[in-house]
Amino acid sequence: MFKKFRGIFSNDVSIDLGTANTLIYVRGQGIVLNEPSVVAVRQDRGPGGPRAIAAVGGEAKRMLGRTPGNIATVRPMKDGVIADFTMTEAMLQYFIKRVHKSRLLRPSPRVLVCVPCGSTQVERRAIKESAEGAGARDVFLIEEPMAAAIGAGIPVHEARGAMVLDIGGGTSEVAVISLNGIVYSQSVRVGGDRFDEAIINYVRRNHGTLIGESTAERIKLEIGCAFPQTNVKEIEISGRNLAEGVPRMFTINSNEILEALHEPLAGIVAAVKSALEQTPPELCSDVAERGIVLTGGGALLRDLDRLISEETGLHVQVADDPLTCVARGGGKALELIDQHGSDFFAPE
Amino acid sequence: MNNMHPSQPDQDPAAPDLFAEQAGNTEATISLAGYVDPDLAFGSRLRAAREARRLDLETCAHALKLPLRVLRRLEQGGHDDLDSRVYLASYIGKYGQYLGLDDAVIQAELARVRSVEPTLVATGGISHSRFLFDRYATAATYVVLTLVIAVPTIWFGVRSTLDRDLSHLTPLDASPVAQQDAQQVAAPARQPDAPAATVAKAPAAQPANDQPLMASMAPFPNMGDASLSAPKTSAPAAAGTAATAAVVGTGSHGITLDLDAASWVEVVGQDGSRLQYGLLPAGTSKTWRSDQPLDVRIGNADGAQVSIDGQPVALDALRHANVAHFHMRIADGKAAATSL
Repeated sequence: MFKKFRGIFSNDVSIDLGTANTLIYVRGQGIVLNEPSVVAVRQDRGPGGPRAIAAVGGEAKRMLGRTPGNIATVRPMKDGVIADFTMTEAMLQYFIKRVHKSRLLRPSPRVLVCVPCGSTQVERRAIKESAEGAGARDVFLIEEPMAAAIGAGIPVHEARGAMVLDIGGGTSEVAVISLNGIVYSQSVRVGGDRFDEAIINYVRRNHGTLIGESTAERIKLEIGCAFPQTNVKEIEISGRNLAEGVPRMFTINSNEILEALHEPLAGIVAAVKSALEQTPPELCSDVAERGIVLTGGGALLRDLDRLISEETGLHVQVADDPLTCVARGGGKALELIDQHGSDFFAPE
Repeated sequence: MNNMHPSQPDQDPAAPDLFAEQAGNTEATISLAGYVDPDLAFGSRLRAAREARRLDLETCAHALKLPLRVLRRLEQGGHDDLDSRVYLASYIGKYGQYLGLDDAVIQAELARVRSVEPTLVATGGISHSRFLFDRYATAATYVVLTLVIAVPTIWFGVRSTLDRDLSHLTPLDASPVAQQDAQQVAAPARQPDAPAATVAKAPAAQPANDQPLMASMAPFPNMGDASLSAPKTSAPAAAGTAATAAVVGTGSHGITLDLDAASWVEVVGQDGSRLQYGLLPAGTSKTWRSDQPLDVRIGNADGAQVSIDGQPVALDALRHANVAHFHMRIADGKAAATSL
């Protein structure tokens, strides 16, 4: 009863609960939060002592790999689903509170959460309960490719097939959508995190140097690419030399990163090809005419569209502002709740 | 993934690099500026640029991996209904870049296309009324169940209290028996010709245990003050009759009670009928006559004198604390008090 009362003072929100970043779209306000899905936990008085949230989001991410013994940084999401229920709940609670200005009442909004289409019932239930535990009044779930398609501006209600490839931090989802429904979808647990891992492994293997996640992500953002470049870019980074055990500076170029990313990219391409094989012929024909739309943070990898275009022989385009497509699409779907209910929402 | 990372992009050497860097495009734009009339419509510009580069539509379609139909429509103009915004913007952008059109021209056209924002249509969704029904059915069910179950239950529970006529009730702290006695005494006074039996049968007609009692939070009267103890609501004729002796019942044996202080008194006949039940004020003198044994209980034995057939009864032997409880037995034609 109190949740309903508090709900009067809360805004409906759409949450893209991603492995790497959490985005929140508030109804009527747009994207209001884009923070890394990282929580820093402080545990004083040794193991078994009381645990307290030290930082959440960007502040916690800056602590990654730089924490003393009593602070641990946790990524509560892994492969698009909850890995640490308590931390996810705490993180959501923090984010929901942050997007509400009222300090008097604990907000209790209606929440739409985007879930990977490959997630199991148990994983979906966990996400739903986590959002409820964070104070949500009602929780709706929507599959990420559907939200991404809506956010990208694809007219999903048409009787024409549209293929969406959403490359997130933990998973990549490829789906064929028609008539407000997902005809075929496939989820592979390859995403931005796997790109970072691949870069770390490559650097360790070929340069004998150990680098951290933050450095690997910086390399990916600055010189990462998915297709051979005419202009080879370089970046100077530092890491711990495994042989000498001391920090060393070295230079790495975009072609090396392309080689490092070969394996995870091959997984994504294989998923797209598999989806094309499984798609019904009529819809496949529509996809062939219209092409594939890339969304998600992974779509920002340089020339990823070109790689997939070359591999599939289809026209590939990157959606406008691909990073926020899922959250924006969820927000649009949220607006239909009070109008018609919605056939976009996924069952638990 | 056979050709995933080709060393050289597989592309028509005659065609410009589709994904050329911005610097390269700028150069191409400058070189083509002389061929394209800036006043032409966007579709015409595309065609002019393509012809200036001596490219045919098939080559462009192959390079861009787009259907010929799409490129033809783009060059003809009026392509707004070709597809939705996200696809159309991509077609225009990539075709324009491929042909080396000025970036400003492409952006202007894209801005025009982007102004048309697609709306989300819930096809196959439920109707608004159905949605409202689904959304509020559960809440409405609870409300109805509450109305159907809880409200009647509460109403049945309090109905007897609500419908009760309290006008005939006499509070315990107002000495109802004394009032009743006063009325009974007054009645023969008004009708001196009435047979004594009628008066005597009055208690039998309305048994004492049927008399309604009502609890009250009113302050208890000071029992030692006779003026407060005496009923004030009686008629003037009945005033002071509390001290008048009253006789209840008929029989050869009688038990008489004289009260110096107010006392609770219960007199029960052999058949279980209550001849007296209630608080009697100070100064009361009352006789119960009967041929049958009587069970007597006096709450304030200190302020009471009892006699049976004129013989005083020593209550000290019959009392426990201040409560006297005894039995009037009749044996061999004589009545006597015996302890229980």
